[in-house]
Amino acid sequence: MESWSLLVFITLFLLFQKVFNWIGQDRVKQAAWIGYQQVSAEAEIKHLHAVRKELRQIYVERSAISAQDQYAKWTKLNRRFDKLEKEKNDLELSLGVKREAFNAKVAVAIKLVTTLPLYAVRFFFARRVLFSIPDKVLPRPVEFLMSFPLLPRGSVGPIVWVFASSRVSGLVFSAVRFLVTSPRVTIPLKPTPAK
Amino acid sequence: MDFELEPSLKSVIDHESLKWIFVGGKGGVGKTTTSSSVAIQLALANPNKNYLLISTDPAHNLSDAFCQKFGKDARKVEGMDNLSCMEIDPSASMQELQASFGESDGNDPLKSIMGDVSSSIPGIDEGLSFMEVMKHIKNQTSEDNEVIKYDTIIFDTAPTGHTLRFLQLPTTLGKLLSKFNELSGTLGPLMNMMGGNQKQEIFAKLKDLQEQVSEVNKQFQDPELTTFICVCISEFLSLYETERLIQELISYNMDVNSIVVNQLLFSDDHDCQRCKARWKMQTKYLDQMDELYEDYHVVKMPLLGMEIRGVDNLKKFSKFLIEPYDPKKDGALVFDLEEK
Repeated sequence: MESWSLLVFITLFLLFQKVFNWIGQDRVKQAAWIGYQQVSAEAEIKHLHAVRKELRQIYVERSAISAQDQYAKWTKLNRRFDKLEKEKNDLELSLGVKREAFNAKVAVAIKLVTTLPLYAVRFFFARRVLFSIPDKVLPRPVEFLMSFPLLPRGSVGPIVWVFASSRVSGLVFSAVRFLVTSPRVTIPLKPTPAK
Repeated sequence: MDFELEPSLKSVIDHESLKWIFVGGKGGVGKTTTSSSVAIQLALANPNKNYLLISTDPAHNLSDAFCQKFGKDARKVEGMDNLSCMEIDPSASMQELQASFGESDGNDPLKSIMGDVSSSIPGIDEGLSFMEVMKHIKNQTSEDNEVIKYDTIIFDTAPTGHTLRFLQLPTTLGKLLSKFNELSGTLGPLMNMMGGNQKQEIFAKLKDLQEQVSEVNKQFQDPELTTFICVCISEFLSLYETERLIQELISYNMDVNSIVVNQLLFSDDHDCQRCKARWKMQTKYLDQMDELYEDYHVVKMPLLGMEIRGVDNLKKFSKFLIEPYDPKKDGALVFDLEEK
C-alpha cells in the first residue's frame, strides 16, 4: 500500500472511530438487533412478528366499532387482544435472553472492527514512512521522538501518526460535540423596576 | 333467549356440595338484594341445612335489607330457622393485627423494614382480613356454647373491588419467603445481631398466612365447593366492569357461571315513553350479553316499584331467581310489595 493512501486510510479510520463513539455502542446494538429480527428465520421471532401484526389489526378493528352498539363483538376483540398481549409479553421476555447473547456477539464484533485495523497497520507498516518534515524545522529531541520506531530522523511513521492524530481529532470532536449538543440557553431578561 | 343454559340460578341452589358462594359486582347493582335472595332460596330449599350470609361492607347493608339489626356475631333471621346473618367490619380487627404485626421500633431497623415490606405486599390486607373473618366464623357458638357449623356460606362482597386479590398471595409470599431464606442464609449472623427474634416471628407469621391462604385457595378453586355469582345492570359501564371481574376471577381459577342482570324494565307493552326508551337500550345490551355469555346462566330480574326490604318482600322477589320472570304472568309483582 502506498504511503499516501495509508495516511488517508489512518486519518479516515480515526474519524470513523470518533463518529462511532459519538453514536454510542448501545444504539448500534439496538440497530443490529432490529436488523437481525427482520432477517432472522428463527421460529420465535417469526411468531412474535405474527402476534404483533395481529395485535395491530385487532386494535384498528376495535377502534373502528362503537363499544356501545356492538358490545359483544367489541368485548370478544378485547378478550383476544388481552390474550395476545400476554403472549407477546411472554415472547419478548424469552427473546430478551437471546437478545443478550446476540448483543454480546455484536459487542465483540464492534471491538474488533474499531481496534484491529489500526493494530494491523501499526504492526505491519511500522517501518513505513508516511511523510517527512524538512530538516531543522523542529528541535532535535522532538524530531527524535517523532521518528519513534527507528525511522530516519524527521520522518513520521504510523505509530506516532496514529497517536498524534487520534489525540487531536479527539479534541476537535469533543469541541464540535459540545457546540452541537449543548442546550440552548435563553438570555434572562433584565428585571424591570416595580412601578 | 339462550336455549342451552337456563336463565336461572336453579343450578346453584340445587348444587349440594357448594360451601362458598360469592355474590359480587360493582356499583349499586343490587348485590345485597341478590345475595339475600340467594340465601333465602337456599334456606327454603334445604330446611335441614344451616346457612350463613355474611357481609364485610362497613355500611351495614344486611341490616337494612332485612330490616333487622345484625352484628359481628351471627344472628338468626326473624322468620327463618336455618339462615343467619353476620356483619363484620374486618378493618377494625385488622388494625389490632397490623399493630402487632409491624410495630415500628426505632431501635430495630430490620423489623421496621420487614413491617413496611409486609404491609405493602399486594393482597396482604385482604388476605389478613379474610383470615380474620374465617377465624370469626369458626368461633361462632350457639347458646349452649357449641360451635355452630354452617353448610354453606354466602358472601356479600364489599363494593370496593379486589376482595379476592389475596388469592394470589401464596405465589407472592412464596417468592418473598424464599428470597428471605436465601438472604438469611448468606447474612445469617449479621441479621441475628440486628434482632433475629422478631425477624423469626414475622417470618413465621408470613409462612402461616401463606399456608392458610393456600388451603383456602384449594377450596376456592374447586368448582364443586365454590362459585361466584356476578351481579350487574344492563348498561355499558356495568357490563364492562362485569367483564373485567369475570376475567379476573378466571385468572384466579374461580368458577363463575352465573350472571344476574337487575333492574330490567320489561316495558314492551307499557305506555311510558321513557320506560320504553330505556327498555330498548336495555334489550340492546341483553342481546349482546346473550351472544357474549353463551356459557353462563344469565338471570333477568325486574325493576320493582319500590325497594325490596324485609324477609317477606325478599321471598317474593327471590322466587324469580329460580323460575324466570315473565312480565305478562308475573307483572303484578312490580307494585305488589308490602310497605315497610
